[in-house]
Amino acid sequence: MKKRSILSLACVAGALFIGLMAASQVMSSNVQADRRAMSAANELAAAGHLDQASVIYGQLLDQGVEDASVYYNLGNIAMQQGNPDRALALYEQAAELSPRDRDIRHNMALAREQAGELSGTSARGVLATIAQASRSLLTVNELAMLALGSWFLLGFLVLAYRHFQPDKRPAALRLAGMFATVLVLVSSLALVSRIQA
Amino acid sequence: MNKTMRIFIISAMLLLGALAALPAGAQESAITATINRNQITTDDLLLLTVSVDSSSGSVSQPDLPQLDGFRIIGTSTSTQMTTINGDTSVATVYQYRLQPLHTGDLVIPAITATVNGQQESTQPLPVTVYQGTGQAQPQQAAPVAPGSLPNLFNFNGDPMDLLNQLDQWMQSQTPGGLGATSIPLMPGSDATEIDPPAGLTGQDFYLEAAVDKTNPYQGEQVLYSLRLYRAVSPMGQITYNAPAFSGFWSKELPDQHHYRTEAGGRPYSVTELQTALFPTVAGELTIEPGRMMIPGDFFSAGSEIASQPVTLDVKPLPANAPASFTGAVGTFDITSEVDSAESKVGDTVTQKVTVVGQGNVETVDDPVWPDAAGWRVVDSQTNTQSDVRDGQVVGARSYQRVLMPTAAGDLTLPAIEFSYFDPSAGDYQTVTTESAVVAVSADAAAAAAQPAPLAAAAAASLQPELRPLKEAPASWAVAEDPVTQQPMYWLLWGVPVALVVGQRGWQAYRNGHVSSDAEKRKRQAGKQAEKALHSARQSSLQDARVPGRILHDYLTACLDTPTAGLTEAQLTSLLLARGLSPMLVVSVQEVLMASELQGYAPQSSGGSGAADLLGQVETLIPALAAEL
Repeated sequence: MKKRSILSLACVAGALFIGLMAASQVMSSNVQADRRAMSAANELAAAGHLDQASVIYGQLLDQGVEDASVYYNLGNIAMQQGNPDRALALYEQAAELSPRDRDIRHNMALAREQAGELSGTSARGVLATIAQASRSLLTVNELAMLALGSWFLLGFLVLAYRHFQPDKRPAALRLAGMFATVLVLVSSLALVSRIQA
Repeated sequence: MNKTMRIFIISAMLLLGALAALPAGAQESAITATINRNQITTDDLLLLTVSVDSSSGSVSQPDLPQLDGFRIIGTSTSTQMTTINGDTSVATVYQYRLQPLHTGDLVIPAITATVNGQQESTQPLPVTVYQGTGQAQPQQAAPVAPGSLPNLFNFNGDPMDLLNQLDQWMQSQTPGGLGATSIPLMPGSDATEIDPPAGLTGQDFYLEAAVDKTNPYQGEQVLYSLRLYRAVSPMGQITYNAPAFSGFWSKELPDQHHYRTEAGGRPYSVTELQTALFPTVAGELTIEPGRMMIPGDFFSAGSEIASQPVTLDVKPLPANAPASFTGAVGTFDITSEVDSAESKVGDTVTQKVTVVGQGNVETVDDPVWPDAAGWRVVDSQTNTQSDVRDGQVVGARSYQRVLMPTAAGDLTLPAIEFSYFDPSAGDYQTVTTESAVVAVSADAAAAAAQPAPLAAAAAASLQPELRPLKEAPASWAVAEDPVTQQPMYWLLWGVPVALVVGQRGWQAYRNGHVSSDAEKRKRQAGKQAEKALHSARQSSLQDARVPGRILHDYLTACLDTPTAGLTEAQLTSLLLARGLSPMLVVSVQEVLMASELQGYAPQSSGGSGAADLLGQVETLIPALAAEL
């Protein structure tokens, strides 16, 4: 391959990377909220003042905080108040924000048991199966970025593939293209089903 | 189209299809609007309550549309928090007091707010307005004596209760006739007689602006009055456009005042509108002219009249402000009460602090809270209510602070100082609450003495299995729309497609460019060959090698490769590779061979002469041009 072709491919890859970074910037931001409020609410909850603790957690959410730990703690309070259905809903919200957190998974299983739900509720249809599988691995935003990233990868591979003469196209590129295509399809379908849910 | 491209396009189509199948998210509305009555008279005030559920995520303030047939004469905002079975919902309540301007079936249009980036609307609310008697209607609730401020200290923690008290007082203050139009046609005979202004010399309409003080302190209330003098009754309703009041915090007063006067031999009806202004900066401030649109009649077009601008010289506040001064200007008082004189460690008590008075109560900052040893503030809510009494803005700001004792013993909640600047005295004043002592018992004994709630006891067995509460993370995750709800995200999906399409376009352009270069070269070679052939004929050519050279030159130019040095086999394969038919290749080879043979051994060739070869070359060149 000519030097110019390599340079142009590198430029395209750089542009794609910058685009992907720009997209990831969309997700990253934070909120200023008093962390002491959380500690105070935890102390109230530990002292048995569940309603007051609940109010403070609610205020944190009202301030724009949408952290898995707040939903998780609210879920714990709901469990202590003997309301596993509500606890389950709160744990699910927490798991949506932090799907790989083991504490959330553990307490969610307890809440599900208390609420009388089967833990392995069977998913109906391909979309639901993919969505359920992705739910325990990735947040919606992570899934969205995976889908977009694999789409960018596929685009780059197509460009690279077309740079070679037809009789000199490497088989590895073709394989990588097929892998990227499968990744795009699976992640996009999971994303669509998660958004629909 | 190759296989990879097909896969790419199919993927794109599948994705587009999947995205098209996305349903619009159905959510419960986070905004609701209610009215206290749906049938009122022109004497009544309507209370429009817009409740926005802040628990739904990011919610904007409701966007109140143009309310045809109503005039907003007061607004207030409060926050309601409800906790049921641990489920906490927080609602911000906006209340608007509306004065109907005419009778008929009126509609309060849909009110919108942005909830998590999406517009949500309330249902339109129909209201039937009947003609009133000109007297304010008696209220069903306990009446409040006109002219007396409701007991603002009687705040029981419910902002709505405080609002209702203020509302009752306000309705008791509403004069008769407010509901007819914003500007009544003629004053009653009992209207007060006033002196005419100097600028009133017999015009049909005249507008005068005035302030009660031109040299106020920063933050001090200034009463801005706009008087409309009318010698005739207009055909329609007069529209008032208030000035922008830049540099002021303003509050329109609900009452209109009516007077009579005489100037230039004509009797005038005078209507006065008032606005309370609070300068927010020191220095010279100018209030722009107030404007009123006078409707036309059958014989004349409508016209606009304007008052004169009013200039104020606002004095800065003195520099010796106490530490507890937070911007209050007027006259204020402060009270504090604690809901319990006894508590235990880890439990909470609620302290209610109320600042009440006349002045800029809506813009004043919170008091400076003193350090309270042994106490920790776990929650604080603020509620502000204000109204107008005798042309003065009065109100109350209430703070409900939830405090937790952290040690046993008699703990003191210190006195709270509140300083304000009194413009009449020209100095700062300080008011102070009483300190309070709360007897705090140790938690363990108290907790043992108290039975645990049933639900908590029932859930206690679960506690060992539950993973513990989590501490606050190093950085909070923010409540915002998922990335998939942001247009930029979906626009980025187009980038790879655009790059691939762009690359294809560039290649097509490049191919076209190369092809046109070859065509140009071919045309030029044809012309040169034609010229060479013509020149050879003119010079009675004897050398048979010339036709061969002409043919070589033509081929060299067309193929962009020298052909003279090639062997017969190399030339054949080159011509075939460039798409020439075998027949034509054979003809070319024959001409070249004959030209070479006759050039070196003219007698032995026995073939055609140079002229014949020229003729053959002449025939070959168009054929080559067609196939190359």
